[in-house]
Amino acid sequence: MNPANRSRVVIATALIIALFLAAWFMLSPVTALLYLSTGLATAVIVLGLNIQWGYAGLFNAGILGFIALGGYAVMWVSVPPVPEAIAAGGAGLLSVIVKLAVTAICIWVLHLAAKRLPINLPVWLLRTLQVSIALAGYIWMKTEFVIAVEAIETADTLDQTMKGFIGGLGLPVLLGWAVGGVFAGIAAWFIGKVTLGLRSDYLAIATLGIAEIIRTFLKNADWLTRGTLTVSPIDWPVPTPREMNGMLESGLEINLKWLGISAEQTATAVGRGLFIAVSAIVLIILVLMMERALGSPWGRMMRAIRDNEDAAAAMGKNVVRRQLEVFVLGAILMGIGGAMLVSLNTLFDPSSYHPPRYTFLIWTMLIVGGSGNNLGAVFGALFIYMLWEMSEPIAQFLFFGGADMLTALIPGFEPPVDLASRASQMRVIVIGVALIATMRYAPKGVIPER
Amino acid sequence: MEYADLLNAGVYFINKGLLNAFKIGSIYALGAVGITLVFGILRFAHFAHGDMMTFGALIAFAGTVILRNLGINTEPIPTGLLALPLAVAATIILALIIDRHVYAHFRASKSPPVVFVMTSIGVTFILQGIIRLVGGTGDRQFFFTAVSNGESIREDKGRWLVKFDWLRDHFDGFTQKLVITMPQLWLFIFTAVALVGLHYFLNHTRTGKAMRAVSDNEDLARISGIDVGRVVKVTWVIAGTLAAIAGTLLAMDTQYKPILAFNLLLPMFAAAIMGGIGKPFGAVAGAFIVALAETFAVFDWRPIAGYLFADRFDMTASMALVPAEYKLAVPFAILVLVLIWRPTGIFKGQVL
Repeated sequence: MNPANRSRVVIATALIIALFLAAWFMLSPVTALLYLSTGLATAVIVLGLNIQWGYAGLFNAGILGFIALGGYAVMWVSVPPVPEAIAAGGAGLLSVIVKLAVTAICIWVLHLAAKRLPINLPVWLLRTLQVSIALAGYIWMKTEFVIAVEAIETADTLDQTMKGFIGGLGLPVLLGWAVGGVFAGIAAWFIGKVTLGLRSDYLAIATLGIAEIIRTFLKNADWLTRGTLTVSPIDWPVPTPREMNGMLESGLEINLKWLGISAEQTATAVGRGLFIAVSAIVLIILVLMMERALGSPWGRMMRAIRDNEDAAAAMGKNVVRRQLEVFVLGAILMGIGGAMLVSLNTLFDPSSYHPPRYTFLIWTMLIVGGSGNNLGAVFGALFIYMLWEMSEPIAQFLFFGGADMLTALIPGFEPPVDLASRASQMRVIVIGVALIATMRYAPKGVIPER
Repeated sequence: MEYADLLNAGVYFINKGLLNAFKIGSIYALGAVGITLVFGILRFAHFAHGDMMTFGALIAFAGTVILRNLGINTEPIPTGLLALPLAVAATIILALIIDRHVYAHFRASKSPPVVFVMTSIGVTFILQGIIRLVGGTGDRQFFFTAVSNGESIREDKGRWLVKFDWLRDHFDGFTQKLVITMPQLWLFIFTAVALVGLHYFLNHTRTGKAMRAVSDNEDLARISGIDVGRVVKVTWVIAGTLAAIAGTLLAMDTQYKPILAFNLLLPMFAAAIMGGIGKPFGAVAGAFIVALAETFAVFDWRPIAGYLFADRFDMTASMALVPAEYKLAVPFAILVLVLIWRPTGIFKGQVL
């Protein structure tokens, strides 16, 4: 570690601990643990963004899309299948998939043929052909798809909490975390193929749009995600607080009174503690891997590309290809983080993904923490997340105090009825100010890159 | 098939299709012109533009409520329009304050565009927070009358409609309605006036020409003695004015809500990029192309098919090309296609 950074790291750690203790004593120990584990999962996402932005200078404004895909993946892997729905619409859906695959293969074969065979096909003709095949495939499968979806969404199930979608695979949830990374990575490969090479602003606009489309799809594809009905519960890789409760009742007694945790909260606290341990292990492994990558020749090459694309290209580096690698790698981490978040909340709610919370807050974390530096990314994630959560109770406190004071001072003053929801907006302002202030006064973040 | 059916189909097409497209197109145009001017002169994608629109709408709403409480009623002109100058002034002041205290610093230190974009995201956060803090998180109707004892009584929205009834008196079997709301009518008027005025300003005044010069080549403009700082201020004044008008009229036509303009951001960027960065009239063309494409992609052709080819189609499924939920995908697809095949836009704007 750079000695100049050492004091900054100490101060940063102290800040996080102070916020954590504030949550512990002002709210409750269980809430503080919840914030810590959410912060750790978010740190994985920020680590992913750090690879894209800090290592390679790619401006991804579509973080939300990868997080949501990761969240969907963990739901899909861990939730059991819904046999009634599969019986109703599974065959139709399979046929739709086959038809889509046939269409895709046709387009791909055409692409290969134009490339390899010695026929000189004009590009516009090739594109027109491919687009018409795509359209034909769409019309070919559309009716069948609508019927299958209708059947799945209306199939009667024994378990009402699983009604309306096809369910998942019913496999261990840790596998789901990994699959979350895979899904996000595959999506990133396609997105990167199309959008990399654009100027930074354009890349931001393009990725922002793709994220919105992914979100819209997950929200509206009820047969796949249950849409606004949400899927719950999603499993934990460790015993959930409820299972913990059962274990404690059956003889495993733990006394956490000395930590200020009441007997009722013990099961929740132990469960959350175990989850934090698993998240921390995942995070540490990922940080170590990324540090290795950053120090390797590959990492040096990435930074060279970031600092001067033209010079790196002149040295014979394949810039767009390297950027694609880095974009996919970063997205994988975002997917894993998104899967961890859904798993932690035991709930997959596609309509909960809002850009301010899942894209721009992540950016603020990285900028404040210090981009290009993995330690800075982790610090930024924990610090900004806790600041984000803690600014709400503080604002509530100030607002209701202020409203009481004004009511007492000014006769006839009536505070607005939605004071609580207005106060919760304060945190958005706090984050915005933190972002701009960092950009202005400490552009390299709290823990700068070495 | 009878004439009445043909007329019904045509009027439905105009009313639900074309009119909608032109309404949303006008909104996009007013926003996209601001975005393209900022993009061309300050050289960054201004993500906070949508929130400037919402801010203008909120101020107009506050002004409307105050005017109502004063008992001012200017039928047939909607009261909201009287509050529009206030909204415009407030949005201009907001834009200038933001520029002076946020963007000016980064301009002075010659920061890369990415820094500006990031900062404008920070500004978005703050504006979103302030808008909700002041205006609350709920939706608000412009056409409510606040009565003194605190209760609200809904105004008859019908009186803000312009109906074209004469067709019904002249043709038997004519059932479709052609209806334009008052805010829509004013939106078209304002858009036309604003764009003609902008055209005159950019082509025939010194300041307008200076703006175009800075947009083309900032350094050259500076050494030719153009006051770049003043040009930047004028840019914000224009962008703020257009944003406030668009936001207010959109909120009057539908309703005011805190996320009024977030979903407009992507179509407006698409329009600005499609028209060529730094080309205001390219942005206008782009805005109407995006709006037409988007409207007709989610347009349900069922009633028209029903009128023209009665009973020959299965009328149970929607006949829209794209499900309405995926409306946003249309401007996005346009954007990506333009970026890949013609990054300068259809009117050859700048490549930044």
